[in-house]
Amino acid sequence: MINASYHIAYFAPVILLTVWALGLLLAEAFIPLTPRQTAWTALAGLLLTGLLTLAFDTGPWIFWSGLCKWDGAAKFFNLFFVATAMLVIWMGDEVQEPVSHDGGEFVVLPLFTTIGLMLLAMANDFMLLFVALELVTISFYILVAYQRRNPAALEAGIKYLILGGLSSAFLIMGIAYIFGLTGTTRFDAIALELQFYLRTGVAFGMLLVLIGIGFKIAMVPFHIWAPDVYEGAPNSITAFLSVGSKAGGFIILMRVVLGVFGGPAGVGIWVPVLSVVAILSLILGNLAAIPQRNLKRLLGYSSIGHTGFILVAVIGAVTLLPGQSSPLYITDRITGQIAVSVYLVTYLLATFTAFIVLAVLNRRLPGLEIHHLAGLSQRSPLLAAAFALSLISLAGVPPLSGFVAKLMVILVAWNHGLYTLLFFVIFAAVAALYYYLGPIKAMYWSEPLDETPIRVNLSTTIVLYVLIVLLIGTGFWAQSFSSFVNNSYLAHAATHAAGSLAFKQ
Amino acid sequence: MDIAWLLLLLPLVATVAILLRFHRDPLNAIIASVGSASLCFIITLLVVFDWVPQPATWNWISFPASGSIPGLTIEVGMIFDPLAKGMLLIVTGVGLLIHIYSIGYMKADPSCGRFFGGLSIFMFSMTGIVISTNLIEMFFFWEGVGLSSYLLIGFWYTRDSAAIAANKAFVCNRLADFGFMLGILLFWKMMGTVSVLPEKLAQCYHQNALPAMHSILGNQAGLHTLFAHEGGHSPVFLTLMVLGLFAGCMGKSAMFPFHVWLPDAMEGPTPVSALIHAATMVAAGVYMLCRVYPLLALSNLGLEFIAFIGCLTAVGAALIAVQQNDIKRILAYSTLSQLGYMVMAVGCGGPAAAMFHLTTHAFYKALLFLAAGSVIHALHEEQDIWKMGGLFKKIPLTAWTFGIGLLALIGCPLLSGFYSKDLILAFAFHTHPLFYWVGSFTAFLTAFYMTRLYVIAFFGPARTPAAEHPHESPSVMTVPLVILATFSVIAGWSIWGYGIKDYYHTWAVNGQDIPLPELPGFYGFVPLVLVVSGVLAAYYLYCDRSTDPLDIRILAQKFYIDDFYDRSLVGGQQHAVNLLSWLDNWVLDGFIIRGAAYVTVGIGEILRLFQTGNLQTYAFLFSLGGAVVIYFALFAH
Repeated sequence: MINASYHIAYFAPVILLTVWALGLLLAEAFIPLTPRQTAWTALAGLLLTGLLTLAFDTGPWIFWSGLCKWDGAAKFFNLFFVATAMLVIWMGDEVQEPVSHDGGEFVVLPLFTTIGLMLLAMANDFMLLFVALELVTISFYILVAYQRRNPAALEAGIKYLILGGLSSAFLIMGIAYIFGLTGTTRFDAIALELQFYLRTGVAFGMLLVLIGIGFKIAMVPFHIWAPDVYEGAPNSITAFLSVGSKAGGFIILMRVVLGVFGGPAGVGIWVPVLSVVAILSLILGNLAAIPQRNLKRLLGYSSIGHTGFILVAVIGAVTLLPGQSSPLYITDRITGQIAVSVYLVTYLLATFTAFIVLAVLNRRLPGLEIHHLAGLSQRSPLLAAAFALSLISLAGVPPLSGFVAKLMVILVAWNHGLYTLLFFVIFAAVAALYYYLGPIKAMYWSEPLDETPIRVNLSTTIVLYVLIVLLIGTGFWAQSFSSFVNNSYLAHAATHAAGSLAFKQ
Repeated sequence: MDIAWLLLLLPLVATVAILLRFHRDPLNAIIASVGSASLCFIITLLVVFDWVPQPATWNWISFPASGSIPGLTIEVGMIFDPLAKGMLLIVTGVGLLIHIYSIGYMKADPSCGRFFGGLSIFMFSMTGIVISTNLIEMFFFWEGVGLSSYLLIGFWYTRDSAAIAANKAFVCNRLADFGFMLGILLFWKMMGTVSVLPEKLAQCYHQNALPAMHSILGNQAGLHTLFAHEGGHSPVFLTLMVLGLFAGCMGKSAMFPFHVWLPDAMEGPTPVSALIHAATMVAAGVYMLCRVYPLLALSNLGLEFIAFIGCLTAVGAALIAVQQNDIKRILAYSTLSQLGYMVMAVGCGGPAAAMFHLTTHAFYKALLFLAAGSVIHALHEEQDIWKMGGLFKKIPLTAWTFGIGLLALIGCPLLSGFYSKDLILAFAFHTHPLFYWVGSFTAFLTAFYMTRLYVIAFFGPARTPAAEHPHESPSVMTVPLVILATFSVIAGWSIWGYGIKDYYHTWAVNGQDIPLPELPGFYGFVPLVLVVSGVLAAYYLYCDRSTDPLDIRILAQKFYIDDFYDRSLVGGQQHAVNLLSWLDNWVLDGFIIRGAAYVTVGIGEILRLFQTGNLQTYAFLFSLGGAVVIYFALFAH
């Protein structure tokens, strides 16, 4: 590993975005900017950040005294977060009802969240991980409770704040244990030390860290906040939480369990734990979604279920292949990581499509219960089609993009002999159909109570069409899509020729 | 982007446009649907003359093999070999004519937009089946065809009979498709591919076939033994695979015992009966068999079974047709019988003959249905032949074209049906004389029931007031009749050179030229004599009658097969449905879902009582979860 000082250049996107965000905050204080001008300035900053990120190679480099790591995964997820943030800010400005714009914080804060998420993806040290995670969480506290005159939003904000604080306590306590027993907070140094033997204290610390991360990704039993907070937060922020925060959690989960504790000793402990919580997430998320009538709560529970699916891919990233001696064999780790990344991308597409539709409807319908959707297909075919496609994709029906993701998870589980998990994955996928089809039935086969057509403005129409094309396109061109993810993820790994779904043993 | 993809895109776009925009706007719906059909036909012509190349495939999914699972590569593409070209020509050509005819036939119907949407989705799926390069792709379109057939049979869904017929068709097809799916899975498992490209299939064939199997026509004896073969796959599984694939054909092509849906499908509008339930969709099963014929040839037992089922359907349906009175039902049973012929031809080792008969049949059966539609139209929706009569003079154009279709169907020399039927009988003769004799007897029956229909409906006195004042259909309906009549005459002439024969040779015996079989002298005359005697018998029996002199209950009641199904399967199924419904209501909905809901709601209600306790409970549960996780991970061993 080259550890030269000029690698600091890889910080450029983060620095650019930080400067842009601070500048925007200041400018906003002195120059009277309309909310729209603020939003589009923020979008421009994100676009520049994204382009700058694209310009970098994929390392891997460890720099800044080992605090940061720049590799394919970091680059991939940085781009992922920038894209997410752009959608969030665009939604906040264009689609949803004005969230009392007292100052431009509603636009600027997501920029800070994005900075935190980008740093998370680059973290190679528990200290940076913690600071970045707090940056994400604290900005989310404010965003969730932004509609502060709305009691539901306040309740959601308080719940998120207190439970988030609790989870941070678990996380920092775990880091303290690990640091105390190994004497370092660097991922690679700890991994070297713990490869074959794990003292109970370190294992304890690892589990505490997992609990802290479990909160971010909403895995059972640390999921309790999700439905309440999803329901209370503004639509764009719910989408951000559901996609950005979850993806951030998964990138550090992979960094920690596959990197730091990826040795045989660590794997022996966390694989059983994660297997059980994956099964619980699959069951609880998908069964509890069935009786839900509120669409945002329904998506909240389904998001818990999706955590279960992705966890299966994470577990598949290390499990011993049949007839293989070392669980550290790198190729199969990568398979699982690719599956996670593909899953998150398809999840992003479907979730944002769904929440954009909900945000549009929020203003037009008396509420966001399933029965309010009745006859939507007659009032606005585009919204109905977009919502139906996003739900079908989340359910994993071919040939939409969600199918590809689920197929990859199932193949990872199958190839690694995780038959118990596979059983639950399939059970959950079938159970999920039940509640995803409910809203579709309402939209297409119920008579509308109110026949007035719902008009959708031009930019929303365009974004929805783009998302629909991507939802269908990534499913149809599954091969190109997964190799694209594979290549952008692994471009650095000279030993792994980019190729198909990389399910080679 | 290759132009060829437009073949699929155009009807799809038309469907979507009609679905979203034009479903209450007949004029635009007609323009979209007929426009896409015409363009597709033009592209097909370009394809046939090789002016449009086969498009590059794109790799949809590709997994390398892993352990005991073979690799799965699905390369979606288009196949333009002689077989596909011939079929494409039929689908888009006949399809276009029927689109045009429908403009006249459906224009009075208020939901005519929906009808054209259904036709377009059918064209999309059917073209898809024809050009599929692998069985997964084909299965997708296969289901699409099933769906469009369901939609169009149930087009007049306010009629109970139409809704029931649509369900019946769908259920029969789904049942058979389950077998098809198993066949595809077995194929994939054994051969490690799902591709149906001729070169791939030839490879599968040569890797698994016994040396003795290479001669297809010469191999007449010992068909009943399952042969063993070193290196290849187990003959038992090969046979199961063949039967599975054939199951798909049995559903779509309505072979016994799945045939019951086709006559009921006549509840749909007549153009639908012509396009879907006579010319193209029901032929999809036969087309599929021809497409995968090298696989079928791996199992002699499978082929025998196919030939036997085909033969049974051919003669059974022809017998039933003798005692039917509804003009469309007679034609439906005649379609069944002809499909039986084609399947029998495949089973006798003659996919070339099957495709030849499919082609000629598509023309004259579409013609017969459209002419029947014209009759029905003229008599204000009257379908009972005993209420017609004397139509020959009043609607001469319809009567003449119907007559040409009839002659082609019964195998009058010089018309298309004669040649294709002869070829099938030749294949049958060289496989087993039983097939030949049953086939010839069917030819007699065909001549008999078709003459009966014609004599009753078109000659003699008018039996009802409506039949006295019919009016000839508009030219938008009669022009397609004339075009189809022309093709019914000329489609069998050898100037076309049996393009399908090329396909027959690509995989078979290392490019050797196998002569098509011929009937030896005497046997060649037998069918002709039988046909003539059938015509004469029906003419003398039915000329100037007003009631049916024959009364064969078992035939009129269709061998009681439908009743048997109603009593046994439908009755038994009702019990199963009741059980499932009970499970759904009480176990799934009641216990699991409502139970979970009540528990959730109950907990929520309890928590709501302690308004400040809510969050504390959350925090408590969170920490409890953490404790449990740590306990089990570290201390529970």
